[in-house]
Amino acid sequence: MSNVSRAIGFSLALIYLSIINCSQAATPSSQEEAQALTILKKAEHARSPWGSMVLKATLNTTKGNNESTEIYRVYFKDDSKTLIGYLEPAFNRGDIALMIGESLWFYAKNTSRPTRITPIQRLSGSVSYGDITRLGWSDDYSIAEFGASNDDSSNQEPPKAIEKEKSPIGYHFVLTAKSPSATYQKVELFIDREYRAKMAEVYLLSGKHYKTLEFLDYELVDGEYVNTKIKFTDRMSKHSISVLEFSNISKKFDLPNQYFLKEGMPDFSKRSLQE
Amino acid sequence: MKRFLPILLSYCGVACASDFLVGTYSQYVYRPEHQSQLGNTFAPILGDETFNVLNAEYSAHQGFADIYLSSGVSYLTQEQWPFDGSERSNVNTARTYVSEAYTQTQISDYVIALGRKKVRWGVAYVLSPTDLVSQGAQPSDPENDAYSMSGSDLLGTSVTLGDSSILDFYYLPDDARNKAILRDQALAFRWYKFLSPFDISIVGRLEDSHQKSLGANTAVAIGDSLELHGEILWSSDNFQSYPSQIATGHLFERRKNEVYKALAGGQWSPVEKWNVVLEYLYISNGYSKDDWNNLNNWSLGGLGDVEESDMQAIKNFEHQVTKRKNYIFARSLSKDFLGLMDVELISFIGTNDNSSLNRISLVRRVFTSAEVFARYSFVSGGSNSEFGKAVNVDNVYNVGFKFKFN
Repeated sequence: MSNVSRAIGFSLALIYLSIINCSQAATPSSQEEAQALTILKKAEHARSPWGSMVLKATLNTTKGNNESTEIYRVYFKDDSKTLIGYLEPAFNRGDIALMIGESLWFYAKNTSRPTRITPIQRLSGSVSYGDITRLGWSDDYSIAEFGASNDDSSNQEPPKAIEKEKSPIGYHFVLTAKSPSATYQKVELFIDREYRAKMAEVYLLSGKHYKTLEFLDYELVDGEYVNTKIKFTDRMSKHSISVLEFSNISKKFDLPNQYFLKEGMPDFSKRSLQE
Repeated sequence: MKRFLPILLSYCGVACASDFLVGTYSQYVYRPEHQSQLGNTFAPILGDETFNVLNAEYSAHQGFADIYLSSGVSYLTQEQWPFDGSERSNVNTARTYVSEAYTQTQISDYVIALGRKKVRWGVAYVLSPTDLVSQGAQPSDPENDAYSMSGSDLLGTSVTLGDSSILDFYYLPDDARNKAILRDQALAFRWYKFLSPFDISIVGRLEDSHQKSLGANTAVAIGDSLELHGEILWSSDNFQSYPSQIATGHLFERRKNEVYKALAGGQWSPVEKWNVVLEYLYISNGYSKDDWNNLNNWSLGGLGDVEESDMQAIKNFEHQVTKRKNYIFARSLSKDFLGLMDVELISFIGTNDNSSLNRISLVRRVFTSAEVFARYSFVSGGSNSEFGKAVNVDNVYNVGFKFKFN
């Protein structure tokens, strides 16, 4: 499917789900909330199937006529710690970022101390640190609204573009930040009937529409489907599009625990040159 | 050797991960001609200079151990006016250095390290009192842009306890490299604990000359943009040299007392790409007002022949970053300012006489592997103030570039 037809498909899906949203999606009851949370966690599972894993992230950004590529090695540990090592470009090799719980630090190679950064701060292009360090939603956001497209109470005919999709969008969430580590204030999330995130519209505290995230590809890794490609369209910076691709995904890695502490950042910075 | 090379290479093919990273740093320093404001410095007054560094890093995992090497060569051409009034001259200095060279291996939760390594225990941005193993960052080059800071020679182990504590022990031999921070061989330890949101460390060092140091530091994350930190250190002996107050026959004297150092500060990132650091440092054995006045009352002509021990004390004193008791360090870094460049402002203020050392830096990334920079440094304070004497960094312009490739 071309990018244009995919964009049209998503636009139609958005319109369709907006209609559902108007007619039936509302603050969920406790039973609905439990169902919604289950669906949300299943979608999270397809982004991060294991509490600990390592992957290589390649970020290609196009802004006007300029194109750039950055490569990172990302380690996730125990669902609560994320370590990012910069591999390319060479100038940034050895720079690292570490997230522990709600705190995020950046360490520039050979410098004095790690500095505090915020999850919304740009990693590069249209991608924020939080987009790569936090792959789930349920820890950081509350479910403000939830709607299911297969609800019988909906008399709306689904758009043909969605019918043709192998796994049409089935669930619509409006999530609002509940934790200081949440990257965005509001996330409008669309999940398909196979419980995979398809698209997210994210908003700032000011209410401004910040980015559109399209979860494009899922691949089978060690018996689990894992999201491997995300397209970020920056709504506040015209013509800025970033595509983040995950490869070399593995649930096994051998790193000393001390690298997942702030004090271990300078040591890991040197080791990350080996990648 | 040829026989073993293919074996070595094939071994590396399956068991090694390694990479080289080469960095260069070049700068031209312009100093408008000026005269020394003081009559008692023993350091030469400097003119223009060029400074070039070529640094290579190698990081590898071979078999069961990691190897890391950072080494290079620097070349300095400097115009000097010696303090003894002799003719100005161009001095060329080529230097090779080994900044770090160590191997370390992990056995279960233990990491054992041997070689020259930078070990940071302090939590401050510059001049951490609790950096007991390696020299900490300096206010004049906190980011180590000029590859000026080296590690210490050591043998040590770090053991990770659970997933939030580290226990470190290091042996530091009495060698030329370690003289930068030690007087004798020493043992140093640290216990570190991450107790969210606090980082807490207790540190200590025992030198063979019986000097003892004990300290603690902590850092706490508040919200998603603020970190506060503090350090305290007690040492059993005072190695500061003070100008003699009586006719002892020596220029300097020592005092027998304990030393305390304390630091409190924070770093704040109020908006994206803006980071501010503010720190206050107290040093109990810094010069008092009377000590400082005694120093200023020296005159070169009256000194006559200077004894070797005094000359060494003078040299040490000239290289000492902090000479008095109270300091404030402030730094503001705005990344990608106006979409054009990084802008950094640094101010190191001696609050005993309100003199200060200041630097403005503009840095712009060019291509993907290089940065060009322009800096302006100046001091404020009277001619008898601490930083007022730092004529070599007053009204100085730097331009240069950094380049990295692999």
